[in-house]
Amino acid sequence: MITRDRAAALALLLFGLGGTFAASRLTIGDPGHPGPGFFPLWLALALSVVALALLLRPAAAAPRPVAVPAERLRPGKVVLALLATAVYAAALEPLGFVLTTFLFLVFLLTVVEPRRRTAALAIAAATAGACHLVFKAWLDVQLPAGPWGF
Amino acid sequence: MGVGLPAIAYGFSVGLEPLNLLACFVGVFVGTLIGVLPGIGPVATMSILFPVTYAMTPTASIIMMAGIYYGAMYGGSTTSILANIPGEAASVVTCLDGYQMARQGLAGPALGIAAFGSFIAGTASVLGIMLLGPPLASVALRFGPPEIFGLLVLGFTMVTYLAGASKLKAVAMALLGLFLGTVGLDPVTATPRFTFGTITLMDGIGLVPIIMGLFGIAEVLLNLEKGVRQEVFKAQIQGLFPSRQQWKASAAPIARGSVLGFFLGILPGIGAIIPTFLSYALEKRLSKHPERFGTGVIEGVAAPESANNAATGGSMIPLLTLGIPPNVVMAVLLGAFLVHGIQPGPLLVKEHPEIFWGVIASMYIGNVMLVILNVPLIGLWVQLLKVPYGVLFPLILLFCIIGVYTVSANIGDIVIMLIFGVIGYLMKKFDYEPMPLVLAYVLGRMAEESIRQTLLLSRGSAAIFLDRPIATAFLGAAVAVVLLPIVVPRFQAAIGKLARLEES
Repeated sequence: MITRDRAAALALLLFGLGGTFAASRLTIGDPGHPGPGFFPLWLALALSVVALALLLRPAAAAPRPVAVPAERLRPGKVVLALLATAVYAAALEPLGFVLTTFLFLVFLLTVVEPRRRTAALAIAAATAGACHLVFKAWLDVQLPAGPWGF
Repeated sequence: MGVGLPAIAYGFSVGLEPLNLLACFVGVFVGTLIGVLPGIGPVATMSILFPVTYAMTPTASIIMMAGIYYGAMYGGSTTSILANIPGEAASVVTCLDGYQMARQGLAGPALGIAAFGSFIAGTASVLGIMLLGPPLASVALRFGPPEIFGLLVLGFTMVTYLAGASKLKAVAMALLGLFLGTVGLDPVTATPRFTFGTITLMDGIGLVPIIMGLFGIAEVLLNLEKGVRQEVFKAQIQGLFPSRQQWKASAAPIARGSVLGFFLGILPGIGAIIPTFLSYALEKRLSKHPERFGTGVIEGVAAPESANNAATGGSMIPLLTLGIPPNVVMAVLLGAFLVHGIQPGPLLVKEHPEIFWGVIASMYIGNVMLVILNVPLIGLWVQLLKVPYGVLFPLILLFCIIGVYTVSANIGDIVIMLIFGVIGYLMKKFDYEPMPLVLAYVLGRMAEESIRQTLLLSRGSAAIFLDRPIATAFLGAAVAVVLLPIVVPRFQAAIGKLARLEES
C-alpha cells in the first residue's frame, strides 16, 4: 500500500519532472552564458532527485503521534470553507463586494460553524458594512462595486 | 550620516513625526491584538495590511510592519499566561510557568514581567542593531555576485538544516520555492517562463497570495478541522507591577534572554521560537532549584519573553544591512520595502538614512507604547480572548481575500492564494515545513541573478568562488553546517535538539 509520505513524494517527483520538461523547452545556454532555462532546469532536476530519494527511502518506523485523534477531526468543514471561498472569488466582481461578503459570512456563520441565525445575520451585516466603510471610503482601496454601485 | 548619537537623534526626529508616530501606534496595537488572538500570526497580518501601506510613505510603512512583528511577541504572552494557549508560536514556553503562575493568583506579576522583560529586551536589541548594523553594512558593501551567492547558499543550508522533522523534505521545499521563484519574466532576457500564456503569472507568482495561502488560509483550515478550545482564566488580575523580590529573580534571566535572543535572531532560519526554548533551558540549568521550573516560577516567564523580543530585533540586522531576510516575517518586510521601490541592503544606511535610523528609533518608541498598551489594557485583551473562533475565522478568511485582491485587483491571485492554502494544509498533514519554501521563493530571484552574473564573470568556471575569500568562507561555512553533524556526533545531537525544538 502506498503511504501518505510516498504519495507526497510522488506528487513532488511529478512536479519536478514536469518542471524539467518545461524548462528544457526554454533556451538553456551553457555555464559561460546561462540562458533563461538554465537555473530552472537544474532546480527541477535537483527537485526530482530529492523527491525520488523521498519516495525510495524506507518508511518511517512509527507514525508520529497526533495531538487530536483522527475521529474527532472535521474534514467536512475544511471542504465547505474552501468551496465558500472559491464561490466568493467567482461572485466578487459580478455581485460587488458588500453583497458577496454578506452572503459569504452568513454561510460561514450558519453552515460551517453554526450559531444563532440572528447573531449570524447581525455579524455578517456589520462586518460587510464596516469593511466597506474602512477599506473603500476611508482607505480608498479598490474593491469591486457590482451592478448596485457597492 | 555617521553612527552614534547624531544618527540616532536624527532617527528620533523621523520617528517622532506625527504620521510615523501614528504608523508605529497602529503597528504595535494591531500586533498586540493579533498576538493575543490564537489562529492568526504576524506573517498573515502583515500581508493583510500590505495594501494599506501603498498610500503611506516607505518609512511609515516599514515602521508599521516592524511594529506588528514585535507587538505580536508582546501580545502572544497574554494568551499563554491567561489561557494556556500560545497566541504565537514564540510564546509556547511561556505557557509552562506563566499559566501556573496565573492559577496561583499571580497572573498580574506574570503579565507584568512579560511586558517589562519584553520592553527591556526589545530596547537592548535595538541598541544592538544600532551598534552592529552600520559596520556590517560597510563590510557588505564589498560583496559582489559570488559573495552574495555564497551567503545565500549558507542561508538556505541553515534554514533547511533547522527546519523540523526531515532535512530531505526541507531541501525539497527549498528547491520547490526556488523553482516557483523562476515563474514570470526572466530577469536578464525578459523571456516569459512557465506563465502558460496568462497575464497573472507574467510578474511571477505574488508573494502575498503565497504567504496568505500557506500561513493564513492553511491555518484556518487546520483550526477548523480540529476545533479551537478557548478557556480563559477567570480570576481577577491585580498587581501588574512585580514585587522587588520578583524583580530580583527576573533581572539576570531577562539580561541573559536578551543577549541570547539577539544573537540567535541574527542567524538565518532561527526566528523567534528557538531562542525562547534555549533561554528557558539555560535558566533551568543555571537555577539552584531546576525542579521548580514548570510549577510557576517567574524566571520561566521572564527569560523566554525577553528572548523572543530580542530575537525580533536581531533578525532585522541581516535584512537591513545585507538585504537578506533570515526568516519569513522578515521576508514579508522585504516585500514591503520592494513595493516602495527600495532595496534594503548595505546601501540603505547611506541612501535612505531616514528609513534605517527612523525605523530603529521607532522601535524604541514602539517599545514604550507597548508597555503603556499592555499594562493598563490587559482587561481589554482578556475580553478579546473570549471572542469564539467560530466568529473569528470568517473574518480571517475575509481579510486574507481583501488583502490579496487589493494588491493586484485580480481574482486570479485569490485563486492562487486558495491553491497555496490547500498546499499549506496538505504540507502540514505530510510534515513538510512551509518556511524553507517561502524563504527560498523570496530569495530565488536574487540567487538566480547572482549565480548567472558570477558565471558570466568567470566564463562558466566555478573556480571563481575559490579566488574570493569571503565567498569561500560562506561556502565553507555552508559545507561545515552539513558535514559537522556527520563528523562530530555532538553537533549532530545539538542540531537534532534544535530541530526538535523548532518542530515542537
